[in-house]
Amino acid sequence: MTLSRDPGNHLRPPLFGGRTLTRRRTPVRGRALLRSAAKRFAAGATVMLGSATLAFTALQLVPGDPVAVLLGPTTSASPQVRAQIRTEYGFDRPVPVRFAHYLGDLVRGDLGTSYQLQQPVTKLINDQLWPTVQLVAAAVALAVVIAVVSAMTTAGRRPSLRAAATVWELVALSTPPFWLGIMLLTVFSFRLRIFPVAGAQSVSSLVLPAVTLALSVAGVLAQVLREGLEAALAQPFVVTARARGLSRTAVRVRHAFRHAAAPVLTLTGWLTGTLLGGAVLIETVFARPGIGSLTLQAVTSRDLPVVMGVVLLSAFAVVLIFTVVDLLHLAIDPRLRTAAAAI
Amino acid sequence: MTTVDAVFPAGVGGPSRTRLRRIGRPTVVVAAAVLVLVAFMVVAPGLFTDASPTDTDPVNALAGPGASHWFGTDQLGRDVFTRVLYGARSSLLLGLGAIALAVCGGTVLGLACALGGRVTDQVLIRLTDVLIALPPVLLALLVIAVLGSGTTNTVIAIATALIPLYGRLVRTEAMVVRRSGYVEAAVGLGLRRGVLVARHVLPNALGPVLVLATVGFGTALIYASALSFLGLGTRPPTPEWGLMLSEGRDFLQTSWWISVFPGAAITVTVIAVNVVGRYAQSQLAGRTAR
Repeated sequence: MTLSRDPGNHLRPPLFGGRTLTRRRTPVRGRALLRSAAKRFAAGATVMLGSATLAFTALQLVPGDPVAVLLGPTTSASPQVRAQIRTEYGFDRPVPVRFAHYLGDLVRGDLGTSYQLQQPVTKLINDQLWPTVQLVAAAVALAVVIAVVSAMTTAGRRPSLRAAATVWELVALSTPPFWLGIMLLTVFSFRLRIFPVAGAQSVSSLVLPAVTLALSVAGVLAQVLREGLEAALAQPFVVTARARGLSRTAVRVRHAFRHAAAPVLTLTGWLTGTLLGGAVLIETVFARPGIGSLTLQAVTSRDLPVVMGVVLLSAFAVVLIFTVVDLLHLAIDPRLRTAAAAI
Repeated sequence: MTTVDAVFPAGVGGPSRTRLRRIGRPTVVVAAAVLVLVAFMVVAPGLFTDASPTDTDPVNALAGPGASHWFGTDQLGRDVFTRVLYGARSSLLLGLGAIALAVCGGTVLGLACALGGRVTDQVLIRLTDVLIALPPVLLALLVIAVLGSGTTNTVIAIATALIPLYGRLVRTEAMVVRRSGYVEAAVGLGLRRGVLVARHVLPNALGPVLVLATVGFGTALIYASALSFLGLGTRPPTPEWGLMLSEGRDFLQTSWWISVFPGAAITVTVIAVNVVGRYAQSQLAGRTAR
């Protein structure tokens, strides 16, 4: 016991980092952070430029006359009106010029105007953003909690417990979220009347959608985290830590978890991005306002500027998420800090 | 940790082969039996029932599950059990088509990366990076917004969302194969490039990709039914699991069975696919373990 409580103990595994070591390394860590941030910024800029190009290409690829799409199938506009619209939207200019304009507008935060709703896409997205952000944030938080609890309690335990974990993970990641949502609605809203059927007014209306969205992600995360924990628990440093008198739980929480967390963190980042797509389904099931219902409406009516706006928004969100993930990686894994500083 | 490791569709532990644990044989047998049953439903749904999936019977509309209608009837009095049986075909063909197209597209992309020289590789890899960064469902929706809705476009949309992942995977495998001794030997023997790729690189690089495509099929199935659920894929009155689910949404308060059974069919099929897929992965891991 005395061994494990001594902070300066050199038996401490290097990964855990003694206090003095960490302090001496602080300026290096700052530089590594900066370097990593710069690299991430470049990668993020690439993703944003790529998405913008993709969005612009998609706009060009729409078969048929964009003016016809704009006017809808029922209107009978005169050729003069059509020509006027063509000039107004810049459809008559050469493609590279339009692309340059498009990029310029994007930089200024102008995502274009919706064909159907005749409003700036930026405004439409702004109006619908908050419910979706709430939903995705709640779902991610819930998924991480479920995954961590599940993996920590089952990893490396007796076979029956691990089998149970395997089964729930498999079922969770195989269940289509939209069906799960319908099941939950049937049971908890229509039968038991615990939660509201639709809307996004109250906190209680967030519960079912968040659970629905979280479950499949939780299944994937729990699986990867549990397998990572089991691999980490088989490492020699676990024996070392146990020999220093740490309890099984302490080894799990302080040592094995840190090792298993890194890949799970990357996965969480990516899955958070995918949830923006999943939100389209869940918001439909629960009749929630948000980016999802906006997107579905736009896809159904082929309102491309809105769809493009949402794609660019999610690209931006993904870049943002991965910046945070990268910084968290540096916080979790000291090896990355020294490696980044050594370059 | 590369992006593909982090990203593999529907997770399922990702492609890392060391992590997989062998699943019990009885489970795999049951899952395989389920898949055989589903295959029969796709090929010959008439084997299981005499009823028609599109015959309406307004008198018996919204009847609960019972002896005459095992899964109840929907708002038009159509038998839900029959529709679930017949729905297997559209649902599975959508998923199968999408994953097949994704693997083909991914193979072309991956080989172009691995064998096309540094510049091609870099350009294509940056492109796939962008596509992988975007949420797959959103990417599929984007394709549908451009092409319009319908079954063919649904297949194309889902394949587009999955191609970058498979491209990455084929590239990695092809890179490994390209540096192997037997490919060097084949080059030494003076084989033409096309023959070399077709006879040596492709068969060896594709094995692991096809095994992963089993699990990917489950993902594609979920995406396909999701798009039909959103009203963008199969059109009524064709029985399709995702579409049936969405048709029953308006009657959830009184007639839960219309939505619940098709959804259960999707879930059971995807679980079976995942069990068999993971088993195949663990077999492969056993064979390539050093």
